[in-house]
Amino acid sequence: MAAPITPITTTLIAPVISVSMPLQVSGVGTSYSQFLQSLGSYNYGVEYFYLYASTYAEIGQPVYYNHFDANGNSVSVFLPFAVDPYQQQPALFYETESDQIIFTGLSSLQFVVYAGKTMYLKFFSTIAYLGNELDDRNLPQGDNTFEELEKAEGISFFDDYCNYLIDNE
Amino acid sequence: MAIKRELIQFTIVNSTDCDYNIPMLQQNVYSINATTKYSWDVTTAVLSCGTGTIVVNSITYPLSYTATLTGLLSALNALGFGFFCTETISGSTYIYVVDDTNIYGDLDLCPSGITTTTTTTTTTAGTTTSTTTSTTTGTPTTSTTTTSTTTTSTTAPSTSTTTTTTTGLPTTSTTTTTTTGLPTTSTTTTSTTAPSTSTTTTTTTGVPTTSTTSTTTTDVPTTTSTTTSTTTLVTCNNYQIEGAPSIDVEWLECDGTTNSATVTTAILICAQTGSVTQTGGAGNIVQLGTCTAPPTTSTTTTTTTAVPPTTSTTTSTTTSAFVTFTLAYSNVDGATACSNYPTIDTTLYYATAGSILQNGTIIYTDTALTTPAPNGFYSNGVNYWNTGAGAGNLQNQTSCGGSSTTTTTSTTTAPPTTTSTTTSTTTTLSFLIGFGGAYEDACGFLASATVTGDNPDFCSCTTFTGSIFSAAATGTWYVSFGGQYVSVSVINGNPVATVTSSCSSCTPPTTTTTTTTTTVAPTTTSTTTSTTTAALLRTFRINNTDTVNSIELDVQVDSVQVISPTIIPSNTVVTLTPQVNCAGFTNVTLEYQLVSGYTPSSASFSNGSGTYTGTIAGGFITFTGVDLTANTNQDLTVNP
Repeated sequence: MAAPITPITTTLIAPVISVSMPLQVSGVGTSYSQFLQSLGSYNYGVEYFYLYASTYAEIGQPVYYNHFDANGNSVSVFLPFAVDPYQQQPALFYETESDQIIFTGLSSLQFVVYAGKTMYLKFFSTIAYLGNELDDRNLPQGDNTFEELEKAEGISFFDDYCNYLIDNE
Repeated sequence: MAIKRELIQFTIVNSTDCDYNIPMLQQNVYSINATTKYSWDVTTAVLSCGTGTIVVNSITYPLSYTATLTGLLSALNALGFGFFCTETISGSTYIYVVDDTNIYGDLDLCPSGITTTTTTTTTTAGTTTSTTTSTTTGTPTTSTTTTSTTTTSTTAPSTSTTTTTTTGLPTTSTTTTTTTGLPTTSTTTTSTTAPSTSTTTTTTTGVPTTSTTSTTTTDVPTTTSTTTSTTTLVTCNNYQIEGAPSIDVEWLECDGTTNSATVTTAILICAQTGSVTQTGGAGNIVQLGTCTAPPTTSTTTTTTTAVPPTTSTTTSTTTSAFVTFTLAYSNVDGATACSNYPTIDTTLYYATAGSILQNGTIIYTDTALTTPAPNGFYSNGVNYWNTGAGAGNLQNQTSCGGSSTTTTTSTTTAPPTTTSTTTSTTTTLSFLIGFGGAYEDACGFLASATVTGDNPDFCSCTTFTGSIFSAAATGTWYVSFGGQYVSVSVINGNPVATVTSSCSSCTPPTTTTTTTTTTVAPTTTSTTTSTTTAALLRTFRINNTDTVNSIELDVQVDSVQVISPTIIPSNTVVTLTPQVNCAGFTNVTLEYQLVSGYTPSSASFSNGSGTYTGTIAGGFITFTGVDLTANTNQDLTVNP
């Protein structure tokens, strides 16, 4: 009978499996953990995928998308990230509808990251967040909330303020 | 309405040695960006049971996995806690996981022990030579008859006769040796001048199987021993017994019985000397003279019966084997069979020894002559037959057409006789020759061409003319025809080749040696030894142990090239099987020519006859005194 093997516990300087997000221009970046925590408050409807790696095998694999809600309803699909025989770069650009692939913290995108390899995943998405309700709420008059407030107050303080915020975000 | 869009970017790095299916954008995947590492040393762990347990967050989880390290990793990953991988550090193998949230504990593999079941199946190939020696030794029969006759007369002697007869059963020793020779080859060549057709028929004739049975019977001598002894048992005396007034006495009679009496008067008895005793009363016992005096006679007779002469019987039975024919087959008609020959549906068929291609011959598809050839049309390129009348029975011989102008037949029959018959019906100078750099290649028609000689008799030609000679490299080549071969001198570009040797037979001679030794009784030994010489295949296995250099080897046996130069890559074993006349080659000089510039440090050659050390000089590895007769691999090992 074999004896149980007790694990040796060590602390690494750097993780062996890491996911990071690029630094912003200002030098202050968001960590992957912070991004995950924001999911739910910020939900992303993916419109374009971009996948880049060092080999075609890494990007040519079927990517598994799984989404479920609090009621247990689940949507699972394999995204056919097929490599064209004539393409020259191990990169893929994949277009989706923004209401098909949604990241809310209750969904995941699974693919194989091979041993010793690095992959780059980018997606361009439509963001839905709590604050945009003020931006996007349409009133019968056709104006947004800020404009209605200015009309009621007889001022024009918020003229183009929303556009300013968007442009400077 | 404003719609905000954003570019989200991730860089995923896997610096382990394992592939992971990573669920991106899913919360609570604790192995991502973690730095707390748990490692288990599994260097000596036994995985063969396929079960185990692991403690995670103080809870023990069972594992069931394929009994390999990869299977164990799959089972651990399937738990859903973290991504497991393996690594080797200083010769030890570890399983590890990096996880900042879950707490891992003991890994217990095969906790209930291991049951190992090993099944070994050994298959031993049968041998082709069977020698059966049967010795029957009978257990000698010993019969002892003892006759004892005792005469009750007091004076008669006791006679004892003991007869011991030992009769040995004969010892029978039977040795059966079956020698099956290699087949001989008979080549029939037919050349037709108009239209230009060349037909070659090769017939392989199986050598008769010789079975020799020697029976030696050795009789065991019969010995009869008779011993007759006559011995006087006792001495008796007369006794006078007289009572006073009465006496009680006992005595032993001469026959040994006890007697007694109460004597009141005088009596006379014959009793064993000293056996008369007084048991009561009073009186006198007076010993008188002897009442018996038998002579003592002892006779011993021994009779030995002489051993009969030994009978030794040797019976030799020769059983014929088979002959082969190369025939083309067609199930359409005879003309198709003719045209099929010799490239389409052409194969070997077998018939009983001595058969020739004619009506009535039954051809078979197997050497055991048990499966007749299927019905249809068969052709040897000259004639065709159909077998529709019966299974494999050639009937309705019909010519394929064309006129035969020259027929040369060379037939070598099975040992012990060799007959060569050459019949020329029309004078021609054209020969369909075999051509090669060695006579074996020429005799085997490694290359063939039609050439013109300067004499109708092949062996009398001094020159041959043909395009094959102008295409060959300058040097000595060999030309064969009708089972004979000659060497020729060839100049590249010159179609005329000059004969440089006399004719030799392609088939080595046959040697039969019979030795009989007879020893007078009681033992007779008969030994018959047959040796058949024929062209044999020998496997030359060349092992280049040089891990860097390739070698080029050119194998020659007694200066006859048997393997053309061959490149053997480094660290490679190459097996070559040339046809070499090895039988009878017991003292051969074997040369392996080396690639230019390559000199190995040593080389050895081994086969079933022994191991030889090579001499490396002059671009050759040379082995002298090699016995090539062993029918085993001929192994050459070259060491860098």
